[in-house]
Formats: sequence, C-alpha cells, structure tokens
Amino acid sequence: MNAVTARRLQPLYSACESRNYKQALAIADRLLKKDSGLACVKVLKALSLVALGKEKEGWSLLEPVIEQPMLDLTTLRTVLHVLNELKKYRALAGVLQKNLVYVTGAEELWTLLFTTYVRLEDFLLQKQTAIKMFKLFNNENYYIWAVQCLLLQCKFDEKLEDTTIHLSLAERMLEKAEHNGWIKSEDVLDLALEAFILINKPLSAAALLERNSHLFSDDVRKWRILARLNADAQCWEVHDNYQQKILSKFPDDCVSYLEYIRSVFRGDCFNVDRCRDVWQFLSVTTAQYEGEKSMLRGPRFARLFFVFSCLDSGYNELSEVLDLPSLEFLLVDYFAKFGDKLVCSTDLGIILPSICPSLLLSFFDSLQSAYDNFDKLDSSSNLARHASFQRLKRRSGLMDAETCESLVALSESLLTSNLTHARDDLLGFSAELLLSAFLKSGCVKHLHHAALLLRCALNKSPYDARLKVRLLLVYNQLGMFASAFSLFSSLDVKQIQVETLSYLVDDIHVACGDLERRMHHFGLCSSFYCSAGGEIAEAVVKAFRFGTFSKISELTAFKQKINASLAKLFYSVELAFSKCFGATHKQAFSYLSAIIVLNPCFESLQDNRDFEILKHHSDPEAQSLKQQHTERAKHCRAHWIQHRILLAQLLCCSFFYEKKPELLSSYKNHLSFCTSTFGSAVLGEFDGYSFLYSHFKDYKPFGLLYESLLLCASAFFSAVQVEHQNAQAVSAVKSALTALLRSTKGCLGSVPFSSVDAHFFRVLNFVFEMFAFQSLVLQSFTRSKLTRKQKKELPILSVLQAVADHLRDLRECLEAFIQRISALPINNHKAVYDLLPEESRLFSTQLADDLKQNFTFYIKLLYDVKKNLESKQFL
Amino acid sequence: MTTLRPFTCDDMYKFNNVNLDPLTETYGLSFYMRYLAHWPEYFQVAESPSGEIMGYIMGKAEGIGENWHGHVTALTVSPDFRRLGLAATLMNFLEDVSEKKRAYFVDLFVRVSNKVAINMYTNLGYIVYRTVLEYYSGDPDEDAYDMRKACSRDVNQKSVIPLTHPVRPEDVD
Repeated sequence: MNAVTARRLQPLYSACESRNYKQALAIADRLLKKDSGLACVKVLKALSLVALGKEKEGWSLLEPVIEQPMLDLTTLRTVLHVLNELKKYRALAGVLQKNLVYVTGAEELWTLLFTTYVRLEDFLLQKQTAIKMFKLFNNENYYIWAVQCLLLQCKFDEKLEDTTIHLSLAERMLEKAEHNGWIKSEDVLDLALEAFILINKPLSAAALLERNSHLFSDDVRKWRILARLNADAQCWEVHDNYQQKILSKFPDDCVSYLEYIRSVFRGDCFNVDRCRDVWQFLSVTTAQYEGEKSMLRGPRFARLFFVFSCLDSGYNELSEVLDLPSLEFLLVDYFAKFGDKLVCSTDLGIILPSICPSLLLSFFDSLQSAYDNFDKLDSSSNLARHASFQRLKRRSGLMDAETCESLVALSESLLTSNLTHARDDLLGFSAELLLSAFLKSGCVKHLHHAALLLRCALNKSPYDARLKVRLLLVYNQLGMFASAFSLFSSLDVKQIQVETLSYLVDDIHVACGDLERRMHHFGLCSSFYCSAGGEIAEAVVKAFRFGTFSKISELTAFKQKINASLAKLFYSVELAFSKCFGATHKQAFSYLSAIIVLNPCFESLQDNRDFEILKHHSDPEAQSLKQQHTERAKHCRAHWIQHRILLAQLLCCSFFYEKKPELLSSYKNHLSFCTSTFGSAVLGEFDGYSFLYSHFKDYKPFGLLYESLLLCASAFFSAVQVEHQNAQAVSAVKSALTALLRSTKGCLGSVPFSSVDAHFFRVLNFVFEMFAFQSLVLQSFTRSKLTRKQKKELPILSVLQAVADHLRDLRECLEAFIQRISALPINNHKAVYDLLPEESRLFSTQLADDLKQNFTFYIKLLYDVKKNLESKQFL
Repeated sequence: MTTLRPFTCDDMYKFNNVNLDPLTETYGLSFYMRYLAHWPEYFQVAESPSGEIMGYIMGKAEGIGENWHGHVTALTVSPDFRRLGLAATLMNFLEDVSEKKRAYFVDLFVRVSNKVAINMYTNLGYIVYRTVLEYYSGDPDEDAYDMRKACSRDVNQKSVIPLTHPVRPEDVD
C-alpha cells in the first residue's frame, strides 16, 4: 500500500476503530467509486456491514476478496477478523493457508490457523500445523500440541482405522520430549501418561511418572494414578501400597475402598495372603476411628464391602481362613450405627440388591429382632431409622410383593397424625409408597393422597426441588398438566438442564396438544445446543493455550455428546410432529402454519445425524430414557424417513386443500428441506435397504418416499400453473424443483443396478413427468397472447431454465444407466428380473408382478427419453 | 463417606440434585468450560459410593503481587448430604490448592442475608474483610460480604485486616 492510498484510507480506519460503522460505510462507498479494485476498502466495508448485522451482504462482499492469491498484511488481518466474526472457519483456514506462504514470522497467524482447525475439529491438520509451528518458531510447546493432536486423532477420528502407527509415533515423540527436557509441567506429564495408557504400557507410564514425580503438586493425585497404573500392570504389592497410603490420608474415601477391594477379588489374581493383608489393614483403620465421637462410615463400610465381595466372588472358604464376621452381623451393625441417617439406605443400597434372597430375608429378620437392642434415640431419630429400614426394603425389591393395602399402611406408619409436623423426607417417601400402591391397584385416590402429602411437604419447604419433581410426576399421572407446567417453570430449568430435565414435560406437551409450548421449548433447547458446540470448541482452544492437556480429550468427547443431544432433540421434536398427524387435516394445517412455518428453528432440522445418536449419546439421567434410546437406534432410520415423508405430505396436502398460493413462499424452505433430505435419504440409505425390510416387513418407506416426491411435484405444477406470474411463488417453486431434481439426479447416478426395483422406475416416471411439464408450459406459452418481450420477462422462465439445466445433467446419468441395462438381455425380461435382489422381489408380490409385466415397457421408455434428449427437443 | 475428584464435563449431566437448589445457580456452559480449561485443579466434586454428586466447589487463582489469591466462585452441597461436614472438606481442599500455588489468601463473596453460610465460613476461619454494596443483582439488589482467610505466605496477615468502609462492585478487583 503506498503512502497516498494509506492517507486516503485513514478516515475509514478511524471510523471503524471508533465503531462508527455507518460513517465507515459511507466513506467506503466513496472510495470504491473512485477505485473499485481496492481490496482493503471492500474488506473494511464488509467489516462494517457485519458489525451492523448485515452478515449476508458482508460475506458476499468478502467472498471475491478472499479468492485473491495474496493479500497485504493489514487487509489479511481485517479479513481474518471478519471471517472469525462470521464464524466462517473453513474460509478462514483457506485464506490463512494461502497467505502464510508469503507472510513469514507471523506466529500469531499460525496460532490462529491452528485454533481454527481446533474449531473445525480437524485433528490431522491441527497436528500438521503444530509440527510446522514447532519447526518455524522452535518452541517446544507446539511439539507438545502436536502430540496432543495425535492422541485426539487416535481417539476421535473415525476414519482412522489403525491407530498403532500413530500411537507408536506419539510414544517416540514423547521419548524425544523427555530426552530434551520438554516435560516441564504436570499437564504435559498428564498428556504423556494418557499416551502410554492408550498404548497399553502402564509400567512405562508409571516409570515416567516416578522419574518426573516432582512435577506433581498433589501427592494423593500422584498415588491414585500410580495405584491405577500398577493395577493395570497387575503389580499388586505396589498397588496396595499406594492404596493404603491414600486411605491412611483419606480414611473416608469411598471410591478408593471400592477400587481396592474389587481388585482383591479379581478372579485372575486372587491371593489369600493379599486378602489377609487387606482385611488386616481395614480392621486396623476401623479400630483407629472407632473411639471417635463422630465415627467415619468409610472404614466400617469397607469391612462390610470386603465380606460382601468375598461371598459375591464365591470365595466362601475365605471367611473361615480369615475368621471374617458374618455379612449379616456387619449389616446389622452398620444399620445400628447409621440407620437414623438418610445416607444409610444409599450406602447399603449398593450391597443389598446383590446379595442372595435368603441372606436378604435373614438380614431383615435380624434387623427387625435387633430393633429393641439398638441404642434408644429420640422419637424423631427412631422414626428416621424406621424410614431407613423401609427404604432399604424398597431398594432390595422386597416391597414388590407387598399388597396395595400394606403399602398404604406402611405409608401411614411413617407419618405423624398431624401432617404439618411430619418431616419432608418422610412425607416424600410416604408419597412414593402411595405411588407404588397406585401402580399396583390403579386406584386414583392413592395418587390424590400422594399429591396432598407432597403439597403439604412443599408448603413447609417451598424450594425443595425433589419434592417438586415427585409432585410433577403425580400431576402427570393425574392429567393435571397445567399444574405440572407451573411446577416445572418454578424449577427454573436452563442450560444443560434442558437436556437432563426436559423429559419431565416433553411428552405432556404432545399429549395435551400444546405444540406451541413444545415449539417454544424446542427453540430454547436447540439454541442452547447450537451455541454449546461453539462454546466447547472455544474451551478446547483455551485448554491448548493454557496447556491444560488433561481436559482436551474430555472436552472433545463432551462436544460429541452435545452434538448427539442436538440430533436427539430434532428427533424428539419430529416425533411430536408425527404424533400430530393423527389429528384431523385441518388441525394439522393450522398447527403447521402457526408453528412450524413461523419458527426459524425448524430450518435447522436439516440435520441427518439422527442415525448417530446412539453411537455417542450416553444418557444423562434416567434408565428409562436409555431404553428409549436403544429402541430408537433400532428404528431411527425408518422413523427418520417416515417423519420427513409425513411432513412433506402434509405440506402438499395443505397447499392443495387450502388453495392459498400465498403460503407457498413461506413453505419454500420446508419444501426444499424435505426434498433435499429425501435426496440424502435416498442416497445414503440404499445400504440400509435390507435393514429396513427385515425390521419393517409391512412398511414401505421408499414407496412412500417417491409417492411424496410425486405429490410434491404435483403441488408445484399446480402452483406454477395458477401462479406463474407471481414472482415470489415462482421463486419458491424454482428452489423446490431444484432440490427435487437434484435428488432425482443423485438417485439415478448412485443406485446400483442390484438395487433396482419398482420404486426406481417411479423415479424415472417422475423424470418423464418433468418433461411433460416442460412441454405443457411451453405450449401454454406459445398459445398465450403475450408479446415476445413480455414472455421473456415472465418469472416462470427462470423455473424452466432451472429445470432444463437439471434435465441436461440428468441426461448423462440416464445414458450411463441405459448402457448398463443395454448390456443385459432385455428381450428376456425374466432374466433381468432374476438379477434383482431378493429383498426387492419379496417387497410386494403385487409390485413384483407389476415390475415383471412392465419391465420391457420401461426399457422402451428409457430409449425414448434418450432419443428425446439427443434431438434436443427441450429448451 | 466421600471421594473428592476433579469435576468433569459429564458431571453436568448429573448435578441436578445439587443445582436445583434455589440458592445454587446453573451457569451457561461457557462458564463451566472456562473453569475446566483454566483452573481444573480448583474445580472439584465430592462423590458418594453410589456415584451421586454430593457437592462441588469451583474456584480460581488470580491477582498480582500481594493480591495473588485463591477465590471461591461456587460452593454447594446437595440437600441429601448436608450436615456431614462436606462443605468444610471442599473448602479445605481449595485452601490446600491455594497454599500450593503460594497464594496470599483465599476469598469469597456471600450474600449478607445468608447467615448459615456466613456462620460456616466464620467457623472455618474466614473474616468479613469488607462489604460490597449491591453486589448481587435482584429485586432489590443485595450487598455481599467479601470474606477472607490468610494463607501461610501472608505471614503478617496483612490481607485480612478488615476495611472500615464499604466498597462498590466496580472497586472490587
């Protein structure tokens, strides 16, 4: 940039810096009038437009600039800034790649390229960039980044089939890093340990840790890692040593006790002497804290868990060898000490469901008879102990056999005569028992009683969320949806909670037909998930910058889960839509025009990751939801197609019946969406063909699919005939037709001959209808009294042009297909029919017969099409 | 019976039993992510034997020179696990981390109306260093106490000499 240009640009820069973007726009326009080729002015204008919210205009101005082979540094920086604002990371990476060839020493630009790849989740390019950066700037941090990217690639890149080479490369890189003294922090050491664990070399990891143990700020954390590594390597003596160190420091650490004891009873390494040592350690620890006023539950629980694990693993004889107390004795003893605490039932709940039924009954009998010998507590604590006893029975499944009457009686036994004096947790538990009574008997009065108890508890503790959730579930059962919604609102569910708690009301929205609320909720959820993906990516970038390597894999995995949740959300919304199709057409239409069309979020339904949900989604909260997910995995492919078909059919029917062409433009996006997703479904799902038929013998998704396509096409023809002078309608039709033709073309090009069946010929029929449509429009054109100029200005011409373009493209596909068919003995259609895959023959006897009869006819039609194309009879 | 371990992203899927408490805020993802990416050692969770989240603490290290300190951003315990001394355990952990980072003190903000929490922090050795006027927005806005406890590096306990006058939120660094 010369001095003159720089001086002329100064006011523009000043306006941008002072964020006076309107003024900047005016200056930029003036400058561009004088010299339209100034790239930096265009970029600053784009920046101003983006800042003023005109992102599309900004992007269209920027697009030709970034195509230039080289930009000066100032312009480049501005371009990068604008692209970053627009979140056009792919373009940003492209610009950087091109320009970094000329710009040397710009470390911050290289860093930006790296972080852009992080945002794009391209692990391979991240790794390559980090290596280049290491070589260019001789900074070992970039070398460590490269190792991290290598590990990410091994863990998350599904395209990478064999990770062995990559992992051994990571190992060598880490050896070099250690040799050069680049492992300088706990975080880098964490990364190295992660690599060795992935390579399955726990002892190498342990040795590395020992060599660099000074880097750990927390001894206990170091011991935990060493214990785990030695457990993986089955070095039990060392492992036990570290576990004992941890437990001596934290004698109430439940997870360490559980891990330690489980390792003792592993079938592949059982050793009586080791058992004796562990038991001794546990007994000493328990004795150490026995005398204290506030006794720790940990050591006592550990002894209990030890004896339980011993029996559970089948080492019954060990009880005699080590002179272990009986499990029943330890259970009663634990209950005697902690029975009045709420946590008692949670602690023992880990063990009780797994012990044998006879022992379980015997325990509860012993507990019942030992009641009188327990320390006498105040009445409130005694009641709490009684509640714990009942909770344990419930957790152990012993209440399943109880009659409805006994459950109600039990519920009453937990309450005082005056409910206002009853404890909240007892009221809650009592209500749970009444719910069980309802499930057994179906008697609604138990539900009413449960609701009364819970409301009473909520009067005393109006902020107790668990009581609210219980009451909400009762309201749902009673069909009191308004009350349920108001309770849900008071929970103030937001952010990540929309995923973990929405299930409380999702189904009710649909059940009571409140789709508006459902859509509102969908809007909240989808905007959360969409923004969450970007936020997590930013966190990964930060983790690289701060060197928090231990969190990078975790964040990446979390991002995948959030993406899966987004897909799950789409699925559940579509499920809600499809449930509404059972309603009358008029209802469906009003619902459609009032909700779907007006809601911009619906546009983002262009996501076909539904199939991936199960792969990555681990359900956050409820077991029942997990089962739903499993079910969905089985059926989601068919559901996915079915929902879209239903949606498209509804749209078309709405158009036909309501006769409101003005709605067409508002349907534009949805029609395009439907047809393009059908296209992708057809392209992607032919592999799943046999899957669908094996699971849905009576279900004909592809038949429905093409019927819908044809229905769409008819709707468009009708629209164009009625509204061919309406520019808006024509533009809608144009875009829908484009999508339709594109999917048909894709279908023609990709269908393997072995998959040809009657439906494929329906696609061909559709193509013929397109030709017919063209002829029809052309004829009406010829006959019309419009002048040549007027005809040229008609918007319908652009539609015809688009159709013609696509038909030309279709020609090649058709020709290739005809060539393949020509190679077959077409005179003997039975021979061709025999080549068809078995499942398509089984698909429907009627269709198969139809196919047999018409096959020769279709082949003839194909030749006709070819002939027509060759004669260029159309446009 | 508790295990302290670093908070992970997946914990957000199961912290409802803690976060549905009206005094515990559920923040946006970026907030949690920032702490996870920058100060993971300050973000710890207390887990029960059955894997439930009993409570968690979020914090950070910040400041320059003698103002280098640990800060408690959030401390919360599930109603099911209260009165077990869990909050004290979590606070001790955070203080230990701050000690290792050679901080001068640990500080936190608490609503002046939250007497239970103020009492607990006082028992843990924290003093009211200053009052921050209208720190919590709401209807009406509420003042906060800035409570502090000196670490061993602050030998003369200069950081915990209470201010005699209240400050505005914009004066808090």
